[in-house]
Amino acid sequence: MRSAISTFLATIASFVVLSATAHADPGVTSEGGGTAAAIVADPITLQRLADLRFGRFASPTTPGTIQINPDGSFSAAGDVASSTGMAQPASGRGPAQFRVEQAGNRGGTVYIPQDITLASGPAAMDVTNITARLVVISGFGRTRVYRLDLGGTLQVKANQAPGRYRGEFDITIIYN
Amino acid sequence: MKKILLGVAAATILAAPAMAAPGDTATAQGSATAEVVAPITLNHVTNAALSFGTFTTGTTGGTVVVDQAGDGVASSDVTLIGGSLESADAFTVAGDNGRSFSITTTSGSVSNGTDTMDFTTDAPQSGTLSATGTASFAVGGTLTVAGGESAGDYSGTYDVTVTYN
Repeated sequence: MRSAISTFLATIASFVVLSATAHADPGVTSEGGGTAAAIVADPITLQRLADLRFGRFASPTTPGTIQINPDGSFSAAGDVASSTGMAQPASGRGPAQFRVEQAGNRGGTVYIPQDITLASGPAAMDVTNITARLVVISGFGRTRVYRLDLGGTLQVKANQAPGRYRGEFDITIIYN
Repeated sequence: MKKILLGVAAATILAAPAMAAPGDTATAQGSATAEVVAPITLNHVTNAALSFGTFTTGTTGGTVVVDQAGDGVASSDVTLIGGSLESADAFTVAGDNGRSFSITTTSGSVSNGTDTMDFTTDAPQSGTLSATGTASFAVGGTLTVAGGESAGDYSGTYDVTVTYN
């Protein structure tokens, strides 16, 4: 019983230590202005609105491509083009979209991926020729809002294995 | 990584790795998706054929209609002879489980090298692949006989196409 109590007390003690670490009082640290500084230094917000969607198509007998442009238009080349007219998923086909909020007059840099790999089990497809555009949604006032539209070209292999393919990528904005 | 410059007036796309600048960055993860389905394949059932049977043309001709079940009926001056075997053509389809498809067929003509007769085809407009990704359908047709065509074996072809809906 004594042993158990000791363990319990030790656990409480460690929680206190962890809690204290996680919620350091700004007033007792050397970087006391940290909370306020973070708000000023991180005025760009980035929010995901839509995935880059290449839609549904039949596995082709020869290699081909499906190109989604930032403006939402698309084209297909090769055997795969013969099946892009089939019923599409509810999410449709279209570019990835992100909402970008930029405060103040500072410029920033948006980093987009050079390529993306989509996978379904062991099978994969690459997205190349990634292009993007910034559309001004609200260009006045202290906060400007943009929409980032991102497209790319899906490289479909001959006899690409059927499946639902998915790949992740990062968009990063860095202030100038 | 490529990059786009966010500015009051200019936006530029560049390709470079994003370098860490603590406190001055925002990152969001995006996803790219695609769905590949099994290709749709059409197979002609071996030895199946759209057969308009054996008939006499008469002098003014008429038609021989074979329905999708393979039953033949002659009209006007055309008469199917006893023992004539008419049949519908047969196809199987394989592809994505449960997905529907459309069927298109062309018309065609048959010839014995001397005379020619035209026919149209009659097929379902669509079908649905089963839970195991298979389907089948039959094709009938209508042969137009002018009358007085020479006796002989006539043959010809037509095209069938299936397309995912």
